[in-house]
Amino acid sequence: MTSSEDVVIAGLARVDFEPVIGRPLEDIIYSAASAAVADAGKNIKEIDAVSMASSDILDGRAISTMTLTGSSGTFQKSEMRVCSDGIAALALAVAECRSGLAERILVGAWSKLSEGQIAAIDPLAIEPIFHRPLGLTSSNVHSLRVSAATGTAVQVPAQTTVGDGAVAMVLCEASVAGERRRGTVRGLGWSTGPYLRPEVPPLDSVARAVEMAFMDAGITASDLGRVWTSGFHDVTDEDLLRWCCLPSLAVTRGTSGGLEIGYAAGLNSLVDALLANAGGLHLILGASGPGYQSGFAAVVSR
Amino acid sequence: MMRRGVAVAGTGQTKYKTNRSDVSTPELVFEAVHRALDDARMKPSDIDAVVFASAPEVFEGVHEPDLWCIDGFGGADKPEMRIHTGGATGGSGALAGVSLAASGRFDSVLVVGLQRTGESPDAQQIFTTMFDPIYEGDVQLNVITTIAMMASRHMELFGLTEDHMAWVSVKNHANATRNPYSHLSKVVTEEEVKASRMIAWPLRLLHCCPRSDGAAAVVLLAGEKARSYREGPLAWVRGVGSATDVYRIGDRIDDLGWDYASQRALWWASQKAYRMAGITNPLKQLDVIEVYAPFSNIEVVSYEAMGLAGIGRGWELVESEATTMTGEVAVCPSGGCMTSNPIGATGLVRFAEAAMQVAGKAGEHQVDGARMAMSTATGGINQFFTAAVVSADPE
Repeated sequence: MTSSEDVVIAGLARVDFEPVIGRPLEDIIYSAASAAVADAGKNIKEIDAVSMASSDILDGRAISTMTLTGSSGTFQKSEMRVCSDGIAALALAVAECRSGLAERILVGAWSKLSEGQIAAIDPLAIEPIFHRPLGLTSSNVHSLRVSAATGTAVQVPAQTTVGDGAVAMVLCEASVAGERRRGTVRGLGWSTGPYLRPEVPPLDSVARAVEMAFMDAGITASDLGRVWTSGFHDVTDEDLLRWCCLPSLAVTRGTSGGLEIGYAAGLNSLVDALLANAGGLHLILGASGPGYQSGFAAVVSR
Repeated sequence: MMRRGVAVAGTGQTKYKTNRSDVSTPELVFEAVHRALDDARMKPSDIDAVVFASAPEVFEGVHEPDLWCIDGFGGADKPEMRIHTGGATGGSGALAGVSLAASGRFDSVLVVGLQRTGESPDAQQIFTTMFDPIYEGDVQLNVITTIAMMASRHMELFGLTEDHMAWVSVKNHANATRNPYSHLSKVVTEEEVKASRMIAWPLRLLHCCPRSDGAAAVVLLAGEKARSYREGPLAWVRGVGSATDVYRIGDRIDDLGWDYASQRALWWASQKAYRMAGITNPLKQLDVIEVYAPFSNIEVVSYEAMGLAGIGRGWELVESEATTMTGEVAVCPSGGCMTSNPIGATGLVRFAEAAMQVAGKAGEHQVDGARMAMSTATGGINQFFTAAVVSADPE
């Protein structure tokens, strides 16, 4: 059984990502979540569960989702939160659907990084005693790996501009989706690599995630139409394809305009792909952690 | 209804202490994981996917602690995801593992729970950042004061007394002396409880949990891999439930027929788990409950929310001593969360302890003849709840 046989995206919505959105995070999430439920032709009482991706440190408080129950629609429902790219929240929601534990799940992710200090947050992902004093950050770990793999000098990337916004979608078992179908989840993969190990090739976890998603979807790279991503700001299209062991394909960087949007990047690209009105299979790539330690991949179709 | 059966094959825990300064965080995780794998007679390479459960990373001071610890739990180059729902994290992690296994995608899932509150000088300073920073930041709400308000409201509305609360403390501390992993391991008397230092009325020191460093791990098997497992007894997952309450506690007063003195979201979560497990009379059908109750009054309120007693009547089970090791349903035979509380791992500890009971692996705190058990977890200010029923029997 593959995902394509049983799980569809019945509705989706987004508050477009911008450098600063002058509204509270609760409002931004509510706008996306309520619009996604409406787009699916459902009301919130028909949703069984909510699966979301967010980070306390990026959101700015411990257990940040406590104050977001109203806006994310979780009252009386199961709430699951992953702390990595939103494709992980999608993967968990698909598992809940396929396991029979839920029929309709709201999936969401957001960013309000304009209120954070990303330069201060980024090094916190590094082990505090031995590695943090070395000045390692999420980005320069990747640069070091590229340097080791290619024999070139280390290039530390410039700081990326951050952005605010939110994305949400309603995932349904095919049997209860009705006629509203924005897309189908055909395959999912995710993988986490070892911590800071220097010999690991760049984007190794993303490549593993892609391989897993292809197996789940029962396809090969030659079946793909296009690759979508809202992250990997310090990786060229050519290197993204090369390190992920993909053939020459069109890569679309999406509507977030190069902004760093944290855990929302994967789902944002998924919405880009489904709104693009293009047929065929789309591969969505996401990542999180130092040196893209965790990789995520989704294969979707309209 | 789950599409395929899921069972617990192995569990592992660490010794819980205020500060496990003898090990690094990845080493602490490794301690629990290798015990779980040994218990299941499996190797890291036998695991298909990993769920890592840890609550606010500000306790550890490392953003995305799962990525730092990955080599300590054998998750490298596997599908791995971190779950965080506050104090309910361990319970949510277990349920996420059950979903992944029951979905048909993975035959074996390792669930790992971790928390190191000992890395931060004061857990309550971190907890105060949970609240709305604009409107509530100056009120000095924290976990203890909000639970104290709940206790005093239960006293006012339903007749809970300090004697009832003290009895729960005495029971759980006595049970903990038979659990080798327990943080607190000392018999206390009702007089000692009632004479202990006042924290926030009516909560005294011996009504409250410690803050613990620790980790736990559980190995889940699914489908044919579970059915053909012959290495030891299994604990079959028979029902799961999860529910969320509103954030503002004022909105829980006189709402939908419930009051802030009760845990309505635990009721919703338990009822889901009971329906799936076919439980209609939990007091009679459950042999053991490992409830997430960090404070003595919370255990009494949970009796009601889990349907063991009528709303407002939980103290009747205290007076009848129905929840002792030899009572109608043994509640927290491990000593529970009152005696060890590694916050993000605690829900997984409850899940593991329930599984150990029905598998007959609980050692000195084994409840004789236990066949059906439930575990719960709680996060936020009584906001996020999970419930899971496990059984010695697959159906």
